[in-house]
Amino acid sequence: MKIFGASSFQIASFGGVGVLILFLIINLVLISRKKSRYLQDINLVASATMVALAVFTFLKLTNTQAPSLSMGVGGWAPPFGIEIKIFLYNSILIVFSALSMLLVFLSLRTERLPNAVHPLFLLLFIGVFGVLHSGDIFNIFVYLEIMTVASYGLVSVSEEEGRYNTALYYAFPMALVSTLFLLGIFLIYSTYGTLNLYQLRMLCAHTAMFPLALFGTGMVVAALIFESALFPFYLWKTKVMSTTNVPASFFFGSVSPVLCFYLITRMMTVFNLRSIPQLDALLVTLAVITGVVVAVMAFYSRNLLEALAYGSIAQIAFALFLFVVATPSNNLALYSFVHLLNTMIFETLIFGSLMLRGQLTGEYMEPLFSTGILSSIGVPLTSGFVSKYFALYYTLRISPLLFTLSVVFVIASVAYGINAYNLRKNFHYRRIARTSPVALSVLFIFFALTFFLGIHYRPLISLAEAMRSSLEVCG
Amino acid sequence: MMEHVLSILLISAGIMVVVFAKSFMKKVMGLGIIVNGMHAYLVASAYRQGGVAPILTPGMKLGGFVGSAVDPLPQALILTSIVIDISVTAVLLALYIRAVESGEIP
Repeated sequence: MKIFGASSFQIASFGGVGVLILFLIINLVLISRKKSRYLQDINLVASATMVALAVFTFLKLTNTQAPSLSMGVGGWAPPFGIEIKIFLYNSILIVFSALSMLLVFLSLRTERLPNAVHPLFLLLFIGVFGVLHSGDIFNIFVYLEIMTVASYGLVSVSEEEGRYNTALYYAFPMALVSTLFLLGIFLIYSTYGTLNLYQLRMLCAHTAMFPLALFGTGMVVAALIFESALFPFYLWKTKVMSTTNVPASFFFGSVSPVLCFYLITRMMTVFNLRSIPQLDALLVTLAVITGVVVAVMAFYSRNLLEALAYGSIAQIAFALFLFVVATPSNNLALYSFVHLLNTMIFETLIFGSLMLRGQLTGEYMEPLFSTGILSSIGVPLTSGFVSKYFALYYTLRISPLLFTLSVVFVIASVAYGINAYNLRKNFHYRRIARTSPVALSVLFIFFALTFFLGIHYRPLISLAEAMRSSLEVCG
Repeated sequence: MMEHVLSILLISAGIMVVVFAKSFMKKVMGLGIIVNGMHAYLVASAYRQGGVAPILTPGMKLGGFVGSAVDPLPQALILTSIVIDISVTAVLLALYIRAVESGEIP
């Protein structure tokens, strides 16, 4: 069966965004007719559908010979048509985003938030999945804008005073950064005549970039560095995360950094930016300063969500550091992906246990939260230990300077982990009588993964290797 | 070339407004000026002297069409960008109004 020139398999693989748009329309109809009591169940169905589609695509991709699945929307070939492309790297992130979406909508069953957050979160995840599916830089921009516009609204939904001010504090610089991103895209287009990432990669692979395109690429990377909240742009994230509601904090602390790392690594691969040593030096410097600054700030923070925000910035800075200092002769790029996978697991455990505090009794919540913190510190037998151990081991073999810089990141993780563990007592909890089995089982997947991958680390390394090579081949 | 210079001037004027204006409303207007300057820049880059619309009509010779048809993509990019810019401006102004109403901004 073919619809708009796409096979049923292509529709199942690439149709996630379309499915969410349908659910968004249902949400808006329900809210406008004042029948919002069905919202929670409907959005849980939407999340479960996304998880099923994401897992299906991932399994299908691992069982086929082709390194990527690609589709030109409406049958148009690039550069005129929009290309949607899935390879192993982004398919894993799609599975992670779908699980995060499920956690968010599970938490909304007990969070006391207005009904308007349901369509806003759906819009947010439409943006996330759109960014991950896109094989075209302008399409990435469009979905990033959808994501950020939804997040402006979400930041303003909390019980804290000054929430609109915080939303503006976040929204205006972000709008400026989006403008920078767009200008970069226009400069790239006016130089190369295409915005398709694969075509751009072919054009940039063997020749030096034209100065105008290089300037445009620099703008795109600068915009992504701002969105990743690396030094000196980290303040927006900590202010936003400590003021907004917990599910939105989860998004900013867990999903958003992973997405930024994905975009930076993809842009660096597409535009062959690793061949520019000055950019490498700049990124390493930014990452290291970020690690030091956020370690100090996290240690002295008195707000749990703020400390966690600093922590999430430090983890992504560490992954970026490993990615940038990697060369073809060392294994550090591989361990940046291992660290990314670990970050996805422990940040979900930490934020998930806080987010589902209305559905988990203390006897379940405490071990889940503590396991996440232990893994973020890098305690042996947890998956967090694997990436930190290998990063330290290989950097020591390469150069004492890189080893010292890696130690800085490990110290940052320990500092924020200890402080966050102590601050959990000040966090507002509600006592409940019974733990929800659904909430527990979703978080248990991440809990089990933490210890399983901490003891049998080979699957983690294989997965990271597959992600790295898929970026190299299909990026 | 002149079109490029003018669009860069427009972008620079927008940046000046964003940096130096004290009122939030003016800053948002500055953002709009930057985006419109960028649209002008892309239009200038895609401009083709004596170009025709990229639609092949009966009686048109293929060789001549290929040589003179303009690139259709910048129009699509600019149209999408205009819609996004309007949405972002609307959300920013809505947040500003809420902040003023709640007394967070005097």
